[in-house]
Amino acid sequence: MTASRSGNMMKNKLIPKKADILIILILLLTAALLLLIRQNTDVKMLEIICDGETVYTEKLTPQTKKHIYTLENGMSFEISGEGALVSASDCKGQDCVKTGLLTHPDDTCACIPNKTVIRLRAEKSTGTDAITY
Amino acid sequence: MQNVRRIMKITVSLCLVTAIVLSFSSCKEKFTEKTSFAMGSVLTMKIMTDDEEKSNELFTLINDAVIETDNTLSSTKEDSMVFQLNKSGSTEPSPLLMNIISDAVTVCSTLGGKVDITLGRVTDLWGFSADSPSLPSDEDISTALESADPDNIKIDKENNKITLKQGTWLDLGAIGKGAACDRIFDKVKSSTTPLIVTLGGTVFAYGEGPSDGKWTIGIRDPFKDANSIFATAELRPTAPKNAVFVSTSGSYEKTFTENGKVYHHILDPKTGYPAESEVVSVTVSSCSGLNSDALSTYCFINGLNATTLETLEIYDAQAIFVFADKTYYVTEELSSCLSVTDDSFTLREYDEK
Repeated sequence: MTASRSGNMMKNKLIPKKADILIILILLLTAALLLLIRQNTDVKMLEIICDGETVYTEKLTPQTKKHIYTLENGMSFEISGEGALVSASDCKGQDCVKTGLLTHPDDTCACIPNKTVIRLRAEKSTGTDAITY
Repeated sequence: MQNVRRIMKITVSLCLVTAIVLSFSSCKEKFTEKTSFAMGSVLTMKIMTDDEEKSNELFTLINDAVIETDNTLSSTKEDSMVFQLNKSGSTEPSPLLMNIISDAVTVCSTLGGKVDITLGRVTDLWGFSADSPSLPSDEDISTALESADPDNIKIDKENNKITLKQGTWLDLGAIGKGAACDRIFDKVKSSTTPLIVTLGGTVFAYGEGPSDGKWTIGIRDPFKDANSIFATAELRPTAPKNAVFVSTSGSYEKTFTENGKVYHHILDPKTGYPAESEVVSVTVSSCSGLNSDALSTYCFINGLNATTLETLEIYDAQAIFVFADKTYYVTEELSSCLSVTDDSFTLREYDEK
């Protein structure tokens, strides 16, 4: 009789109570939330800076459709979910056009004659504070 | 009683969750960033604060310092002091110009003629600064080289006068961006806000960085596009300036191809032609912008040898050399802060004997 009672008590201790289930749910929810935050930080933000002023920004997601954005200085940019590139510029060297598609956070392309910078950003730090070249 | 325990459990869990989420979302340091153009380069300023007023004040100080240096040193801007000095042969310099030229002459004199600020006529022939480079004739280079000699600069501090020997032109391109970073330091040194500035490829970091007081500087991969890095260096600003300056000289910058040959912009003062070197890039960190700029050019031209390493030691500077065969050499102190992220690069041993 005594052995049977203590066996039942052990069994009761092993069965999770409502509060325990709630705690587990909260923790799972937290994990999902943290995962969501991480995923959101992978979203790339396109920034076009002309003469020191940010003149265009766009959040790039896989759903972003390919389109062209043109500045008053004649520079054109091809923008898609994958990234962005300088598609046309009237500068002599055409270095900005030759740079090609920017796809990673912190990828930057500058057109010095047109004083224009195109850059991809991410909320998540890419690990470097500056690049020497 | 049991209900109370459960409520307590839930409360504790919620507190933990909140703490985790808050710490996760605030782990990134707050930077205020601005990009502009100066000295023919992109100027990127990152201020480690979210105080808009403070960051705007620092942006203005930094921008003004760079513009002031450019208006002083440019050899292509017609109203710059150096342009006027080249034209007239003498000038009563501003304190900034006097300091920069005095420092540049002193540094260059210790670099065995590998960096020469009197190479103005030669660099003008190549046209890299004017963005229209072309291959000059041997004869033109040889004639232009005759005017290049550091002894052709006469500095008279007492009477505040700088005089050039007839025909000599200055070109401070090899130290200009570093000198601008020194000027930025002069302007921001009373601030307690950490910041990092990139002017072209020259980096100036001030105050404690976001990674345990250090700043993470990416080093460009000389074999890939401009956005690729092959290593990162975690650098801590040092006393007395609480700052660190990093410069890179690479043969991939400012190039043109003629008759199937690629010409780069780092000219050897001895020949007047782009330096022939096994080195493809050198990155130098030191406690002065002018020194780090001059030393990266010197290391590129002089290559890796005992003299180069001794010179770096004299200036308390660190360096990483990247060679055409994708090997690299790093000085001792820098090696502990360097992480090579691309496995295709291998460490080169250097034996002084």
